[in-house]
Amino acid sequence: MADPNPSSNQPVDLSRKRIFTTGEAAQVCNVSQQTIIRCFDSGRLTGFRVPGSKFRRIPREELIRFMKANDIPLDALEGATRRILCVDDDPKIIELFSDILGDDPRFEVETCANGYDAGLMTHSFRPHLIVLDYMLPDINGNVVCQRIREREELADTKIIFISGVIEPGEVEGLMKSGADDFLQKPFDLDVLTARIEALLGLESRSGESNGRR
Amino acid sequence: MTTPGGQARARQVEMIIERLGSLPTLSAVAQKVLSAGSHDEVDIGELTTLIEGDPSLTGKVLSMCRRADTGLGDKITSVNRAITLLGLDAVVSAMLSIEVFNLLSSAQDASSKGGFDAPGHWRHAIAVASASELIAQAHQGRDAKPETAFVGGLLHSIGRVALQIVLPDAYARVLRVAESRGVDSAPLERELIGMDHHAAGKRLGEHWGLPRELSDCVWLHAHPVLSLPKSPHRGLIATVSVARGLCRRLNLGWPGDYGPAPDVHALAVSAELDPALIDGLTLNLAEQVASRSATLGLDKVTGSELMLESVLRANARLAEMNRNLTKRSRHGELQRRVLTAAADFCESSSGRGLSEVMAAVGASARSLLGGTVAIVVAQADRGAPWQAVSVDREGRVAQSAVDNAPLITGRSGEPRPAPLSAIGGQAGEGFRTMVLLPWLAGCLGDSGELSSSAAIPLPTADTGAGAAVLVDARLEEALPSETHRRTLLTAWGSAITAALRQSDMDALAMELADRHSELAQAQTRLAEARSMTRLGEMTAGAAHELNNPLTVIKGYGQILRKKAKDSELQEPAEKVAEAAQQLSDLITSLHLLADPPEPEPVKTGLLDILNEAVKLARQRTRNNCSTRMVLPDSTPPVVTDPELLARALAELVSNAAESETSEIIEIRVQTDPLDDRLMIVVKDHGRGMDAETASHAFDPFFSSRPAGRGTGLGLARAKRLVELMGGTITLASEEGEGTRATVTLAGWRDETDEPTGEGLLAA
Repeated sequence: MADPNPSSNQPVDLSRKRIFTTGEAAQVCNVSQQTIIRCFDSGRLTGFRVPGSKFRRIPREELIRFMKANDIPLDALEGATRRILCVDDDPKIIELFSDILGDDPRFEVETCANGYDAGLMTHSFRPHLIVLDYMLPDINGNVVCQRIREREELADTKIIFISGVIEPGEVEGLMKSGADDFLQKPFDLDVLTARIEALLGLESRSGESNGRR
Repeated sequence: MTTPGGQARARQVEMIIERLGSLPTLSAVAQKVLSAGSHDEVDIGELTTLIEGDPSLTGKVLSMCRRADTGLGDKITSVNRAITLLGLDAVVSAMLSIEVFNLLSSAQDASSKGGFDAPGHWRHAIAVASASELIAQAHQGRDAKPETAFVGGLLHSIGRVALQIVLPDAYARVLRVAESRGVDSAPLERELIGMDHHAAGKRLGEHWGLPRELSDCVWLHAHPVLSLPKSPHRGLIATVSVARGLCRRLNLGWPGDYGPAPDVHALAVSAELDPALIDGLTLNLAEQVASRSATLGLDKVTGSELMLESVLRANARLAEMNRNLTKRSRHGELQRRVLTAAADFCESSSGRGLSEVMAAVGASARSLLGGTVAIVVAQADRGAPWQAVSVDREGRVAQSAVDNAPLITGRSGEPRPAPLSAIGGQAGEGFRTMVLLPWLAGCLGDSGELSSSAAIPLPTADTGAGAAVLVDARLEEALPSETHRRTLLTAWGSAITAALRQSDMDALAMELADRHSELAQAQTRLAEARSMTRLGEMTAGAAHELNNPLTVIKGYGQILRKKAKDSELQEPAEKVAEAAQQLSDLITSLHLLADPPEPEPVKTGLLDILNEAVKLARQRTRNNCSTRMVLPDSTPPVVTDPELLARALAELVSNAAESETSEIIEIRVQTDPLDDRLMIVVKDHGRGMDAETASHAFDPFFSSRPAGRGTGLGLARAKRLVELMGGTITLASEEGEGTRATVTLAGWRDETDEPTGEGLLAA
């Protein structure tokens, strides 16, 4: 997922871009470039000019603000795939997640094996959903969950806890740390997919809308 | 010795030794003679000069020497001549005797006390001295020289004089005790003073610088000859020992010992002396003693007078002995009676109930004390009822009664039950007439004999109990000895006390047994809980560790199933996934069994719980279960954890459903009419269980069914849940007759509810 070169003619993945040209912004907003330029010049869309030239540049956050303010859907900006971060210290489980979710074209999957990496990945990968194991080697899942919830830009990120713990009290505690759902290991593949679809507002493909917990 | 008594004793001995040291020492002449290693080294000229320098001493020495050998008497006219004719030893002995005698008798005068017969003592000393001399003469050529033997005999009991001088009071006491007990004084001296006169005499001898043979003679003459060390002067000691025995047998003088006189013959034999020769000495002895006594300045007595005196003395001793024997035999007879009575009583009363013991006390009192009345009264504790037993002439129980203690007015003015123990107090007599007798008259009827009878309190060892015997005989007359009275009363009192306590002990023992079994049960429960806790921790860890690989197995099983769609691999892949899930469920069940959630009791309708249970059972058995409920007309709400109870009952219903019956499972609710416990009975009409199966039915993983059906945890889980809620669960089953599982819950009613007066059964 290398940052694409903006000057090339290859299709650009706008979902990972930090700075947008007026052309790109027009593409994302599905309006003409002229409209963007007008808004930029009138100050309704703020940005900066490239030093030593007159090219306008718009930061991602400002573009999102602008789109939300004008009820423009963010779909084009976010891209079609949903990014899912799977966190588990068991490499076999990680492999299983990659096999289940990686084969699904709707999802883009990244994995890591501990809480520290999970924190870093939320910055670079900006996942839509995190599948979080509770027992991690460094920081426990509930702490990871709390820290994510403290960050405003991740307010929309969904979190599913997956754990082998069987104490009802512990499950309650996990949910209180800010998780959206909980799945008991060993989970059912279809149930996992259904829960993810539900949380991300996707249409069900497996046909199972819900399953056993 | 480190005991206080031992220290005091040691100090006393030190004091005796110190005082012995302060006694006057021998004269210069005697010291001169003694300081020479042996008589052979003495300068005869100097000795003569020294003795003759003291006219009184000279006179006495010459007089003594003259009498020592009657054949030469007249020829001994000077010290020098005496030495020539009799030898140096004889003169030295004579001089030494006179010296010691003078010294001690003068010191003694000042401290003469009762018990010590000073003239008698010296006469005894002279008698032993003379006898020793005669024995030595009769056995010429043996180890003991007659002259030395004389001095040894004379000095043999100087320790007695020494002790009497330094501790007059204590020694007088020793002698009195020795006399009253009829024993020798030496053991008493050791016991009461810390040192006997033999040891004291040895010390004094050393202080004076007496030759070793004389010191040893003073010290060891009372020891058995055979036990003496093989020293050169063993013969001398033995001679004095035999002489002393002879004088005691002949009662010559006052020996200071009151024990039986030693057997002179045996003494002589053990000392290798000739008994016949010694017997022959007795005739001469009295004369010798009389003559020597005169020489030493004692009262002048003739030989016959002395014999008479000794006979009188012997007579007096015999009479005294006779008196003692009579007294002892009388005492012995009474003692025998009391002991027999006490023994009989103990035998008849041991280990029996209170009334039997009281009857035994009465019978014992009757037989020992006589009289016409014997009533025994006892009270277990202050405030407890009084119990009385009267005994007839034959010792059988005539009447018995138990009644509340009579009320008396306490210090505060409040009436309180009279403690029977007051009969032993200062106001015992008043208590007898004012409280005890009226009570007895009221209980047993007054035959007129009561008022004249004495109430003898029995000791109850401060247990708070009280006991008394009423007899119309005088205790002091029947049993003059205080010891006997105490023995008997203590035997009676302790038997009654023991019987009173026995019933307490029985109750206590029963309670103890109850507590013990409770404790044992608690211990079992604790052990069970502990093993459950351990299982809980283990299953929690196991669940976490196992669920990861099971997730992988199940996950890939399902992926495989999807990819193998419509192929023959689909079903095996499905089975792999299912098995993984089953294994995970099993661990979860096991964990829930070991570590179930805390029950949260709430007020719930019983019917709701039963319905929920049936619903759960249907789910589990895939609807293969039909039930019928038998309920009382009205079911008050129960306070319990509805979820846990429903789960427990569901297990029972599922289990009943698996009993291979087509008949309906009955769920019956009732309350135990005895203790209002709630009972829920789940009954099937299936094949039942044999005893072996029933006894293991609650064990985890136990199943009478072929392996693979169910986890075998159902009944174990039901039991665990019910017990968690403080209830019990029991199984009653007979093979072919079906099974009844009963859940019993106590404390199920809502105590905060107003009692409505209608229970489950009342409706």
